Amino acid sequence: MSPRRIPEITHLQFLVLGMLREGERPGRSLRRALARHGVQRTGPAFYQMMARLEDAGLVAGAYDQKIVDAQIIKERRYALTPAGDAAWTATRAFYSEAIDTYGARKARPAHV
Amino acid sequence: MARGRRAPRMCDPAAVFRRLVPAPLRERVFDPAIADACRERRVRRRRRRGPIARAGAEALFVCRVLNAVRECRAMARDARQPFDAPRERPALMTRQDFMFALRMLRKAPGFAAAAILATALGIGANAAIFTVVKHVLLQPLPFPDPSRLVDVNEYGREGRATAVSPPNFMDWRVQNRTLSGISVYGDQVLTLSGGPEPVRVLAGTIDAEFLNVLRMQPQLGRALTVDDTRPGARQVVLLGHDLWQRSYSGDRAVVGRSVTLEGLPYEVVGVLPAGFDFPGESELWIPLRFAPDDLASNQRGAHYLAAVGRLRDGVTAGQASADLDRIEQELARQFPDKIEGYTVRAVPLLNSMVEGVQRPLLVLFGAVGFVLLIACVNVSNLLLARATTRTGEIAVRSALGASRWRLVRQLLAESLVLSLAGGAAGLLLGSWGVRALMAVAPADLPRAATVSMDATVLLFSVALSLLAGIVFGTAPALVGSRPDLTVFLKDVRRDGGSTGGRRRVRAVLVAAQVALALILLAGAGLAVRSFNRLVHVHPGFQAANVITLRIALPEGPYPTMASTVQFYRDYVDRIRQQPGILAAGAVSIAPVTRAGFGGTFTIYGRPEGNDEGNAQVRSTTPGYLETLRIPLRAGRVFDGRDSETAPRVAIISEAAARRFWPGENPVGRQIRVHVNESNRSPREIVGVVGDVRTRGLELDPVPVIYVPHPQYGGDGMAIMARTAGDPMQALPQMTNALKTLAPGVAFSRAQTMEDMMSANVAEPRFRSLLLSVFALVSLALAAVGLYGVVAFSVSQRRGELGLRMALGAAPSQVLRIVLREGMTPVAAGIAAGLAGAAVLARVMRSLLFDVDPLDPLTFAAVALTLSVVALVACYLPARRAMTVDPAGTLR
Repeated sequence: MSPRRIPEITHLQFLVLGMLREGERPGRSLRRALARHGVQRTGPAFYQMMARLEDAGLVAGAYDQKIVDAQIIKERRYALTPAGDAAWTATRAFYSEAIDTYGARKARPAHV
Repeated sequence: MARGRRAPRMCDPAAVFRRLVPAPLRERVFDPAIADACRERRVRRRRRRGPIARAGAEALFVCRVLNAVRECRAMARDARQPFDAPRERPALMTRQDFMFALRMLRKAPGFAAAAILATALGIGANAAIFTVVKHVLLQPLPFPDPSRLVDVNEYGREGRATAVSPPNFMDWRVQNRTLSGISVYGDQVLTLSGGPEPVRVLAGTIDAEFLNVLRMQPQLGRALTVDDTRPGARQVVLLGHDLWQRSYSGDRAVVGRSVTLEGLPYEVVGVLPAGFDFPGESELWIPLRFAPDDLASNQRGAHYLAAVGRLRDGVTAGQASADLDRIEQELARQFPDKIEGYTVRAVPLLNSMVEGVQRPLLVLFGAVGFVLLIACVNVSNLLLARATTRTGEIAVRSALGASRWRLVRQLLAESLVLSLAGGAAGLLLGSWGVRALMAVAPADLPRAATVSMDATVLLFSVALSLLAGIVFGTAPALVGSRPDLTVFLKDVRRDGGSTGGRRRVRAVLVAAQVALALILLAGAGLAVRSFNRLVHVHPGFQAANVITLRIALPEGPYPTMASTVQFYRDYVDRIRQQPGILAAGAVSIAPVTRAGFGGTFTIYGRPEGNDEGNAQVRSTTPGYLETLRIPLRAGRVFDGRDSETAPRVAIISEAAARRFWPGENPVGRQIRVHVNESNRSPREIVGVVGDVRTRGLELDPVPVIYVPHPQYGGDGMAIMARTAGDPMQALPQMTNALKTLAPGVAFSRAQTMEDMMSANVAEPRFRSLLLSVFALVSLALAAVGLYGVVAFSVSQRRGELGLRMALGAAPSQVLRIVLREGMTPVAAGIAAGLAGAAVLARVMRSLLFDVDPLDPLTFAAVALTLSVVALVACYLPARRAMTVDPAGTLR
């Protein structure tokens, strides 16, 4: 069996897709969750990444509008698409295989 | 939870900046980022209240928006640019240039403050006048396709506009081939009653085509129809939006209701949209109705209406004029006694509305342009002087490898920082200036209510600031960026690198400044002199201690001439009986109000063809001529004898006597006035009185025929009362007398005759006041600029002057040297300024009253004033030069 091809998504995208596997989330919530992993991105930079994921068909974005305390609250929400789920699964499988293949070798004690 | 594909509406500043974001990034990158920023702002506001926290949240939000715009633009640029693309050309000026410029200016706060103040004065004056010019002259009229609207007017034999005669208008309407619609209209002041107090409102009298021509539709109800304009049709009215809101609280059920105008019921058939108040500042509109007599051939000489037309597609105003004039000439052949020699012209409606103020405003706009130029020259001189002191720095930067372009760029960046800071301060000054301008502007300035600073003024000011920065920065940047290393290395201290070339440039700038200031001073001098002549014109009566108010009797309670005559007789009698009133009377049109009413009259006993004259007609009650103290030259004035049934009489003015009875005594001659009484018996002239400037102080007296009110009638009259003391003290007595006599009658325009005359010269006063202010600012700028240049020169030449004194030169000789150097460019500037003023003063010819545009006295006075101011500005630093210590400078 030939080895898996390297995934086309970045670590950050992998992280975002993983977060969305739990369910649909607003962009703001994703940004906050990423910040906990030390990822500080400006609004435009983050949403540009999300737009690219949308273009690739990995996530679906839509505007959400609700009224809270007589104020209109607006945000863009994202949901994982089947293709996104498949990309995440493939990436995870790639890394699992990479760990299985190469991780064990690295774990050997060094020659003294 | 509502879901949508479209981007939601954004917070306001973001919505403005969103346009700067490349389209593909707007919806999915910029919008959600801004939505997050909005949410963040909301949370911050909720957490921390108070104005400072609120301002902080706002500022952070604006930063987020601006950053988002910048980032999105960078993303779009990166997306376009392949990795191996050539590097972009370096920017014209970088942020670093501006930051460095700011640091340099911070090191010289005095210099920066002086330059910013000078620029701010120039930009502020320009911003203020541009605001007025834009809203009064340039703003399109608030109608659809306004450029196709034309004002159509008849012009008399002397070439003056005479208004439109109804039968002539009817022929134009039928026969013209160039207008898609033409309408005739007028205006009148009506009494609207039904509220707590009757109020006087301006009403447009319009035909059924009026709104069609303007392409305006009622907001509520319907427009006027041809049936509404037929004589005898029921009375209907269209309300203006403001009146509807004010008096009827915006009640939509007002349509169909009845309102009382002039004591008669009118049915409201519609409400016109907000902002529509044409003609004048009309608040309601009623149908203009023509009785058959109004359209008879004998009315072709009666010009009293205005007409507005809409050009067909592809037709110019000139072609419409030619078309209408063709019809007029055909009519003139048929009715030579009425309109022979008359012409018709169609001019763009906007031009016609602003015709009277166009030239004065453009002159003021030119004047503030000069102020800005002087300010620019001033700052230019300051920059040149500063460049001289920075010769060392420039030389070192050049030696370290800075290119000439790099140095020019740096110096220009400093100029631009100065000009933009000056522009910002100028906008502040300009906003105050607009308020001050509107406070002193004439009351009849068209479209004055719309004047306010807006985004266009802001853009204009920013553009002007940038232009000013380039104008005043270029020469110093070019001169200053050419370091003379040899001079610098030889001895900086002696002459500070102030080469002959730089001195020459400074001298040229001083001369230019003086020349510009002199042109402005000459313009202001001419305007002030003209205004002075105007206010000293004798109006033909004694205005002091006279109060006037205007009454127009409503038609309902006063339907007949007898009832109006009785009212005015009773009212004037009551006023006369009040304590402190010396005399009282009434006239159909108060003098010097620019309003006119008149026409032709027949002189009996003259051969046909030589028996017709033209004069203004004034209906007066007994006591009017005495109240204004218009002198009696021959015969008698009106009195109680001249009643409705008495023999018909008239009094004429001296101008009428001179023109129509030269070398004769007109008393006892007979005339027949055509206006309003063409079929009645002749009048006998019983007196001749002095001339009165009826149409304005600047216009020569015209022939006037006074007729007794009991014999001529008139619903609207100006009541005049001469008092022993302050005339305004008599106002309560006059209004109380009116309330007692006729509770439903309103009055308007209560003022003293002196105030009325003052309002008559409001426009020239406004012009001369502003020109004087601008001229004084320019004089001060020129003086300060000259002082700065001479003071700088003295400080630079201390070594040379000290050496001269050490070699035996007396202090007076040193004084002469410095004065000569300072005054030479001043003399050149004065000569150039006089030549320039002689050319430009011709533009003002039509604005001057009784003053020649090349008035030698004015020119001599301004040249002398400027010379004295320049001498003082040179003398102060020159005096310091005399105190130079020769030993100290030689050490």
